[in-house]
Amino acid sequence: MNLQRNELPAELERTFVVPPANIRESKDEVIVELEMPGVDRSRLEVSVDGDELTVTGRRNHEKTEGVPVWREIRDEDFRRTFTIGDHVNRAAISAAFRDGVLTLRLGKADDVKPRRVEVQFA
Amino acid sequence: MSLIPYPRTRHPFDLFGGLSQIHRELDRIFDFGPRGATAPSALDLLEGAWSPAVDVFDEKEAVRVKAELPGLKPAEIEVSVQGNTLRIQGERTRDFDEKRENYHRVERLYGQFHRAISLPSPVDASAVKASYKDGLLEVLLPKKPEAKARRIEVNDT
Repeated sequence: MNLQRNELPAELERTFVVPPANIRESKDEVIVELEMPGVDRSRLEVSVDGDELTVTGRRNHEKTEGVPVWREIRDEDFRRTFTIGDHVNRAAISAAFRDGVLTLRLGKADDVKPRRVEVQFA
Repeated sequence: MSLIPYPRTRHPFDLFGGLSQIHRELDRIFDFGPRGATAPSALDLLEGAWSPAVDVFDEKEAVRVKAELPGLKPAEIEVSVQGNTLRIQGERTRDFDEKRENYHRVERLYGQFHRAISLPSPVDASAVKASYKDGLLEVLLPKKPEAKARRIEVNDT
């Protein structure tokens, strides 16, 4: 494939900040925490496409007056994609945003949850 | 006896200190990759230190400072002004134990942070306001009257 730079879709040319993540697992869920400070809640997107879970957080770009004398906070929006397997129940994904941290709870599919097997005594 | 003193500022067993210093220098020179706390590099994680990213704006009436501090409570952030310096400090405590049981990945940084910011103009320390929303701290420092730009009439003599 020979793509010229100017032929790339606009979305691919944009750069994003990759938010740092913590991933932990409980009996029933996989819990992902992502740091996305300053994100506009109403434009926070979590989407699942096949095996890909994508999180996009757009910054709240308020008009700032005055002269920027020191800048470290990046302008780019946040985006990160995770690969999820069949063990995640697509219908049981929830998201909560608090103090700049997005917490995703991915429910495990029933067949991977630990199950207690009754032992039959003959 | 050595004639040329050997500078040893680091601990002799600090293997990563030098490496991360080179790494930071390269980042600074080429302006590559992550800045501030938005995306910690592997070496930052080894050091376990974090330093929140900060913006400073010089406005007409005030100096506005923003800092990225996700996952904190307002009570955990300490903001103070002394002379020409604004200090933002605090500690982000991990809500899990050291063993990190059931953790697959820990990229978020924890521990103490401390930033001292030199302000571009004198401010009225008694009128400083700070607010915290969605992981972003915003400090508004009104300028002292003498620091505000003033139009001076040119007299015709």
